[in-house]
Amino acid sequence: MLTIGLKKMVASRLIVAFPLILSTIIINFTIVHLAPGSPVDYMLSGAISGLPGGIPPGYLEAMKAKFGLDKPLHEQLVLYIVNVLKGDLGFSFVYNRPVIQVITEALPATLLLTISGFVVGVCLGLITGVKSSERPYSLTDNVVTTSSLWLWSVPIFWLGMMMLLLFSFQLNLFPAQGMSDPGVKGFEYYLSVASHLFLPVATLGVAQFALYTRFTRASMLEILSKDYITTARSKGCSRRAIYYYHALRNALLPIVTVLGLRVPHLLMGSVLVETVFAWPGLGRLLFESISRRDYPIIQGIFLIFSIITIVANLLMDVTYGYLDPRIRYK
Amino acid sequence: MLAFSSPMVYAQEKPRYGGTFTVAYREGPVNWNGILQFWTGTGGDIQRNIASRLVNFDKDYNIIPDLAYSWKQSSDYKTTTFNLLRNVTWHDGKPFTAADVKYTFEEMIRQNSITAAIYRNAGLKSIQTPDDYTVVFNFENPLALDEFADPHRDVFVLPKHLYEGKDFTTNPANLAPVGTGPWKLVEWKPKQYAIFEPNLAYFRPQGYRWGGLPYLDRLVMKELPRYEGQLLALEKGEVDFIEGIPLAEVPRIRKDPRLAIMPFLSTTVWRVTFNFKEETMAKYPFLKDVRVREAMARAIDRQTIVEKVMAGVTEPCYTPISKKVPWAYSPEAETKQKFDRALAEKLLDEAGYKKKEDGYRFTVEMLVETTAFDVSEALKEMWKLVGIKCDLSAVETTEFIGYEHAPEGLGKYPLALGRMGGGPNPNIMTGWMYSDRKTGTENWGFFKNTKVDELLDKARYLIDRTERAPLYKQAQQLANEDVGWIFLWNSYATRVRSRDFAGFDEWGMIYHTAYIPMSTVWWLKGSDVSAEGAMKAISGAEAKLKDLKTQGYDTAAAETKLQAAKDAYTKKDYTGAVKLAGEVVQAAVPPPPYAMYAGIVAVVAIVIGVYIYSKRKKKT
Repeated sequence: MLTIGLKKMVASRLIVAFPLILSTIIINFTIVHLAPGSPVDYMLSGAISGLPGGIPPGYLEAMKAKFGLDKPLHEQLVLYIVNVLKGDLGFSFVYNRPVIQVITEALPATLLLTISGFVVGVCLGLITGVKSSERPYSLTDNVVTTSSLWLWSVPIFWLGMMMLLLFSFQLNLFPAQGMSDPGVKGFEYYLSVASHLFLPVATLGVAQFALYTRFTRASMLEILSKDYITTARSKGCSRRAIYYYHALRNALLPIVTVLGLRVPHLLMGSVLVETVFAWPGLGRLLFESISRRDYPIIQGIFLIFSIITIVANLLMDVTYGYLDPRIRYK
Repeated sequence: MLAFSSPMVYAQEKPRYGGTFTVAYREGPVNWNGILQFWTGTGGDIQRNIASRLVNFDKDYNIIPDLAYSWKQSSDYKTTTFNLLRNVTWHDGKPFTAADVKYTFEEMIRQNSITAAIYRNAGLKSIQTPDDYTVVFNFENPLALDEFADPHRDVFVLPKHLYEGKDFTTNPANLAPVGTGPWKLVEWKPKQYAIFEPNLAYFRPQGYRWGGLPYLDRLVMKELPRYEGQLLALEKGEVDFIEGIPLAEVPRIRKDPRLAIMPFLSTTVWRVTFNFKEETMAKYPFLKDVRVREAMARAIDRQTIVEKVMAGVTEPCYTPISKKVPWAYSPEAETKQKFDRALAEKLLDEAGYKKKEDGYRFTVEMLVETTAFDVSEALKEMWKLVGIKCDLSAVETTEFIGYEHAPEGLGKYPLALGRMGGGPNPNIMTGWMYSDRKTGTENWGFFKNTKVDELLDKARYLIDRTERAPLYKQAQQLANEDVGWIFLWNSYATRVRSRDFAGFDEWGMIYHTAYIPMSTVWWLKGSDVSAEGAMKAISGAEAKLKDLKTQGYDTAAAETKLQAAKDAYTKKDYTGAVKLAGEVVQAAVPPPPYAMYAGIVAVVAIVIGVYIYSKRKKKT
């Protein structure tokens, strides 16, 4: 029995969180600003794609000053940190609106996509993992292992495009791009979103289920060798009772750890999928903001991502204690 | 030349009415305020559907009217007067006046958007509105009328009554725009789609040469960030128009009978830029020799690259100003650029750079944008054939543009493959040719020729084309004699549309694509009858029916037909509505001819009377 004070644990983690978040802000800020090119370059791409008359003399500097980009880097950093502590994540250069507003607008679409993908992946992973563990190295097991690892290794970008080509273009079962059909209202709107959601969720689900299936299989194999499973078998328990009630429940512990680690991915794991399917979410926002050098948005997204990661890890540790009676916090 | 042609304007066919047209853009508008979003990517074009400007360009860069129907400049070109149309209303019904124009331009100056900077450099003194429909701009320096037509987005006129006195950046009208254009924004989901419907009060009639009241019922804009996704949606029929396709797809799409490629050449010209900075030239001393530079220019077989690598979507161009700006285009300035491989090798040998054992004379490095990588590989091959080794450095677009604006310019790179403007106002060349980087803001190769500087200075404030043309032609000549750049080909756009639609007329240039006013587009499968025509037929039938009723006709059956016609109209089946309306009058049952009966009875009575009378006479 481990004796770690629960309150102490949570408190110490929270205290450490502050310098942790601060250092991520500094690191993110530096990395983002190190990228060559600035938002002003994107906006004033002169004769390339911006302005037919070219850039008037002095205008570049005026734009840079307007965004505060002419100040030295450390000054900008201090200004940014002070603002964050006040709760102000800044104004997007591109959108001309508060960063928080832009991010919260894009968030629901992403959560819909990633949570659905996550659920699909986890269900697929658990079911196939249990099936694989029933008879290791059988045909089922090999098929599951090979296909899941292949789907995991293949670039998700390519996988998404292949799904589009096959199911949307050739078989014409689903729409090709976007989140819904324009102008559709009421119940039809939800149907429209569902049909647009299918392919990206399928892509996300099959691309990640390898993780869950492998962990489930490994954990199950360990549990299935235990004595109480033999007892259950000799008692004549049904397959369902043995594998799901007795074995899986105990095998879940390492799986929960993995799931906890995947929570941050719910925000950010869909950048490429969103771009391929033209899904209007946070991932696509980040991707576009990076190429536009919209620093406030990029930094805002990274900040939120860091906070969620820290909080998710903390919650996971607390939950783990509830799940495993061997770990009890005093 | 250009390997395809598809008729742009269907002048012979009569347009049809109705239908929904869906376009796909990579970057939609972030908001609908041109002053706040003057630099927004391609999606900004769609804003032109709901907003209007004073004047526009047509496809030959002549000035055509928009909100202003006539204009006049003072003899010194410092004062420009616009006379505005009187029948223009905003989408919310309020009347448009010169006060809106004055407000928009003054706000633009306050916000310091791009046109504000241009006007400031021209010394804008004041904007006057002597009456509700006249605007006068007073400048300190001469300003050509072209500057008012140049497609900057911040000069779309905003409604003063919605903006004055409110915070500009957070005004809700930025997200729910009110404009004067042929379309009204009906629904907008940012980053997803926007839906437009015709502005029935638009101030130009249907069929107006440069876009009047639209023929279509609906215009939908979808925001699809990738070219591949756009193409997929087009081939599936989910969209009807996309802005560009990868070059590799062009031959396949050309063969698709359902689609048509719409080629467009812009005034921007692709070129290889040399970096004349001392430190860089020191590392690549051979580039200092003008014969070497000429050889590099002559080694490129542009025609072959255009045909084989670029599927013939563009044309070779050997000067900074292309044929798209005919009055400043100078074929005489094509010196030292034309393809001649033998001459290239001869020049390199003469310059003293013989081929070594590995077959190469020297090595250079070229900076390219990732999107232009295929073409850069072709250039690399061409140079290899004359013994020049070229290492390519591909960087992401924004980083590439960063080099343009950086004070160090191209930095360590001796070469870069990029594109710069040559029109519609050739003064744009100053930006990348002028040696002083305060004026030559994009001269990232540090080209310096004082004679060229002088010519550009002289031409800048001149207005008369006959005075400016020889100056620009000479500047181009000098630039090519120095081989400051290797000019390659026109920049291009490969828009693709569904053949189910017609009426695509191109006018004006927006950056690298031509804006196609969606208000001239019509659907081949639309109805022959317009909504107006159908309504006319129905009202006519209704009036006639009323008439017949007073004459005693039985109109029950006819009224059912009239109602059916009205239902068809509501369902937008205009052809059906007109047909039913035509049958209405015939369905009216004429009243029994009482007069005739009375007449017959009278005649019979008279005949009997006469007969009896005559019989009586005989008795006596």
